[in-house]
Amino acid sequence: MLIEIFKRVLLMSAAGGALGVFWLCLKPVTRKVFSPKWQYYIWLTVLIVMIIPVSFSPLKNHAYVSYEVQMQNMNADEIDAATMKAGETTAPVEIYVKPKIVVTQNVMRRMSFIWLFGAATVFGVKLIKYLAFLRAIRKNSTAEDNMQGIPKRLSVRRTHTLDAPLIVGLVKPTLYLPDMELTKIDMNYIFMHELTHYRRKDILYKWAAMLIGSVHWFNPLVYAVLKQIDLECEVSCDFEVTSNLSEAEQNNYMNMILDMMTNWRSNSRPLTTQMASGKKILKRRFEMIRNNKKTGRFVSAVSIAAAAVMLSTAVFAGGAASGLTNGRYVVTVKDAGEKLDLTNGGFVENNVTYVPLRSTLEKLGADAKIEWDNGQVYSYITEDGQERVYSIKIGSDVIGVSVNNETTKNVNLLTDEKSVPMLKNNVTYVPFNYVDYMLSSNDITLSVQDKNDAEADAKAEYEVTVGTYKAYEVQENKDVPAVFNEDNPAFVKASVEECLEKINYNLPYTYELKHKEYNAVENTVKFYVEIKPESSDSYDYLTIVYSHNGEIWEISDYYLEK
Amino acid sequence: MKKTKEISDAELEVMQILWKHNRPMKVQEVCDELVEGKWEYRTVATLLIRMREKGAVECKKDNKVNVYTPVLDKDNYTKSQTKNFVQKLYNGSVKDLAVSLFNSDDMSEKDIEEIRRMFKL
Repeated sequence: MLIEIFKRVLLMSAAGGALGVFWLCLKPVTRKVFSPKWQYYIWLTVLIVMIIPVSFSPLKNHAYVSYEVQMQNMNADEIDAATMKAGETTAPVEIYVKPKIVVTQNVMRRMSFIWLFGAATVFGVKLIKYLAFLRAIRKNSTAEDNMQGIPKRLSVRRTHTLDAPLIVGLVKPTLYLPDMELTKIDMNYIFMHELTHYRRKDILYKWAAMLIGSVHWFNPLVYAVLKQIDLECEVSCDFEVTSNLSEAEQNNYMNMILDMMTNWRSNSRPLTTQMASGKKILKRRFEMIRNNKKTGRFVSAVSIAAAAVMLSTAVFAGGAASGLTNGRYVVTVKDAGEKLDLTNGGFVENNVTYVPLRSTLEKLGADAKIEWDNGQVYSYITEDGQERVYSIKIGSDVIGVSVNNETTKNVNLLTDEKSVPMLKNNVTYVPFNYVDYMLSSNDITLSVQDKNDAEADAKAEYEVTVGTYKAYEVQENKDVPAVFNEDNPAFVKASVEECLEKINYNLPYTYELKHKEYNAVENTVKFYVEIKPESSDSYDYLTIVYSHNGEIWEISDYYLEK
Repeated sequence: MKKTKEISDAELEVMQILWKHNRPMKVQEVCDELVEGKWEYRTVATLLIRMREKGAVECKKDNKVNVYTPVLDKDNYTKSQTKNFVQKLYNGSVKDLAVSLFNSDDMSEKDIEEIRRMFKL
């Protein structure tokens, strides 16, 4: 789950970063043509791309599209025998679970933890500093009650700890004024500036930027974007304040800022660092005040259109990339250890592995015949003198089963709603466990390997083929627990050995399967195993959870001592 | 330009003692006020000499013995320490979360002069 989120974050970061670079490159032009307000708010497009996850698969075929049927020789008798309706589930449904153990050491998993830890740290440190700051200035300040023209929700205080006026606080905003003599005119300009910030809710914008910056802390472009936001915040604020002032008043405004800065300089310790950035920023702000041109309506419309177009492009690109990475897996099917080449290839979508029905059955050497009829796909499989017919339907999660022309029953393979047979480029694909179920006597395993993790996986990935075990009966009402028909001792032994080896449990032991649990909501089966080391009197406990597509969800060994 | 005296932790401890008694004190008296055997006489004497060079204390002779009185005002010192603390936090992180008029850490006097000239202010 974390890994999926992390992958999304990476994609959003890339798309947002690309959009940010695009705007940065365009800045020399947009600065001259578009308004300061646009310069300030345009970075919202980057923030949006970085926070809204969009994913879609451009290749997805809708399961209900009509298709050209590849007809085979159909024997009328066979059709009669195979008449059954899949898709109606009024009767209780049998659930079939076949777990497989595939364990992979994933570099991605490690990286996703690092990301999470980094984001929490970055955010946590900022928050702590922020709270310490709030406390320090509040303690060393006094309330100013007689201020006119101040919005009700904004309180005003005076403090000696600050050199410049500032507004801080998201929920309870407070305007802090420095403890110095200020003329009425100066105060007027200060209020104009600060109240503009307050009205525009610039603090909210900054908080949003900080939060997103924490999530994307690893992306260097994000810091460039945050700097731009800070800069354009002030520039656009000055612009708004001075746009209706006369030239003389504009000069007074600029002088006010310079005087406050000089005032500070004479009171305080000298600077230890001299950064050109402060001068550049102020220069930009003053330039903007002097060149106080209003942008025409046409240009404004163009600027908004440009923003909208780039935003959608970035969102689309990110979404498509996310959808494409779904297919990044290499799907191979092994029969008794041998890799089989699938003509149409398998793919992974929504975390479910799909294989082409016909080629897979063929390659696995099954004596199988496939027929299509009006949306129904019939697979005739002859095995051990027994003929079974499986009827599936594109888009439906129920399989109709008939053995030797007898009882038909409806089976549901515990897949979630999205993983149903589908049609893609005129080929029928089914979730892998369908094939597995149909050929119950084969020992086939599925290997799904992330292409990019090949190296790490080659070292650590291994598979254990386990036998099947019989279907469990569940009631329609999922609250009634499953009744387990039969144990499969070989399967349990293989699982336990596998797990204990994973955690380097070296003591000689005997074990006993104490309890099994089936979770219908999550589609998992849980085994509770009691381990008795030979050399000790106490017991260790092992819990193994299997999901419907075979992964171990957790090995919990916290009672286990190694 | 007034400078806030940057005094070390050890010097601060001595200052606390001088402030507490608010009268001229000899080196030995300061030593006595410290935790038993914390610093040698020589150490304290050296500290006080350094503090005098920084202008934090004043030295006079009282019957051929040096006595020291605090020059640095306690309130001013505390205030400026708080202010340093606040400024550090602000420049460190908080300026991303607050809106101000300008960033006081970013400009030198020369820069300000240059801006004035550039914009004829």
